[in-house]
Amino acid sequence: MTRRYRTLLGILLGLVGSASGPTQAKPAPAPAAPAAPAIERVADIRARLQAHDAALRPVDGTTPPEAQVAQWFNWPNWANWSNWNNWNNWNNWLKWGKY
Amino acid sequence: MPVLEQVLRGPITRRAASTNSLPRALPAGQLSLLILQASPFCNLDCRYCYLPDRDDARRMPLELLDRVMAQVMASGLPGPELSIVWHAGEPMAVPRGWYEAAFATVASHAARAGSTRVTHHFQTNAVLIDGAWCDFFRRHGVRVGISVDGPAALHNAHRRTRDGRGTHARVMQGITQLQAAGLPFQAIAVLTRDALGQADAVYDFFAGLGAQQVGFNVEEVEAAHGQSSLQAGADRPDAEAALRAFWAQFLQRLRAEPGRLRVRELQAVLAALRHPAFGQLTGNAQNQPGRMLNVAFNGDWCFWSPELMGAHHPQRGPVVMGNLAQGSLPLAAPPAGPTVPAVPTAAAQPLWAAWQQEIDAGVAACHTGCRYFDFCLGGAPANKLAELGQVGGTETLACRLGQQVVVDAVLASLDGQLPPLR
Repeated sequence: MTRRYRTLLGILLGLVGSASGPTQAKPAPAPAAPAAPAIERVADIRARLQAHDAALRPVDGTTPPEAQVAQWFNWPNWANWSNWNNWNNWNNWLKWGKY
Repeated sequence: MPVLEQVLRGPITRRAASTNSLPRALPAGQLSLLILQASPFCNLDCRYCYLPDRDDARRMPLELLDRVMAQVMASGLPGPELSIVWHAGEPMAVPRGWYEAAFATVASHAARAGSTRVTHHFQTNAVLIDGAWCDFFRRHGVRVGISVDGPAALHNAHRRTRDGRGTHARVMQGITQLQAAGLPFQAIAVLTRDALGQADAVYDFFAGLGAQQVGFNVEEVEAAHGQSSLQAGADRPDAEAALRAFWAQFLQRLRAEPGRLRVRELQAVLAALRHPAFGQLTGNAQNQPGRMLNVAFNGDWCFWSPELMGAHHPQRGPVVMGNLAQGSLPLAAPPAGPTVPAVPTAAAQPLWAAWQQEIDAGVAACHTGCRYFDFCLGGAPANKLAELGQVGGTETLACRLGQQVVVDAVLASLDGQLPPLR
């Protein structure tokens, strides 16, 4: 039998085999490793947030209106880029506020 | 607690400053929140209230307020901005006339001191708001926070009168009065177990309310409120999974409508991430001395979490560091500390410093063992005392449900939305 006929026979046998009986169950894929909790990637997430902020930061230190609401996590309009305490002092009470 | 937000203010205290071997000197200029209890009385009887004496209608005498303000302003504790919060009872159950006199007293002391700007805040159940109160708020620049839990059914299940009637309609009338007067307000809601399956309804309610911001407090075990609906019971786990689902859905809604609703807890996580000293902070305003001052109607005082007023420590007794009707407030150490020694010996140690040592031990343990430390900065002594029987403990249910779950939700959402670094 030439190599050509052996190949053809192999293909035919394979086809017959696959059509005539239950295929052998594939082994279940190994369970994916659970994603690490986001808290373990906090440094990376923070760096990405800072890069996002930097891309939006205008020269005059204020957030342009369209950037305030483009994403839920953007700086709100009362925040001043150049003055952290402006945010800090925005509302002292609500920071603790209880029932 | 919602500890997350208030931890971020004040001068930066960098890490590695705090161990517990020596009591600290009181820092100057860091007091930014003064909680004054005009009266412990409340006209409502909410199911989850932590205030132990809300039937007590006594009032702070104006002479005592005068003495309190004189001591506060002379103590060196206040910074340039001082928020006075009238709370720990329903502030509007005290007549306006009392506040007119009280605000004049405060103003005279602030003017004499000269270096501190005072803002008044009312956290109110809103049922007594009318046109005259709105006029008072406007004249005095009072910042108003409304306690409302969301849609009527949720709210009325918990926020009730003494005879068991729901108060939602009256709260909404109060809000309508504020809006008609053009007064901004903020809202604070309590997340009870029944709210957790209703994220959409809660979102829709607050998105349409017109508040500047809403803050969500998980129902905590605290002081007079010994059981939370969020705790595990014989037939159910605690509410952590349900709370995670709540925040995941809430964030979905926010993503769909950016800018429509500002949520304190989410803003606080973002603010922490954006803080220039993230990862280097050592404590928060609720667990450091001299940053929050709480004065009860009778002059009893303490630092730290305001909910500690009226609470008891199993070994140390009531959380009262002194009484300002008879005694005096400790003085802040002057700036440029090297020449000012910390309180040197246990014998000379003021009462607050002994409490502070226990609190510091807990914060140090949190720092060592909790990966969320950079967000909550050691938690709240009030939660630790209520849940663990000490102010020096570490993780509480309030930590897990009020802090960690929110941090996880925000980080996961950011992780999914922010592009990778180039």
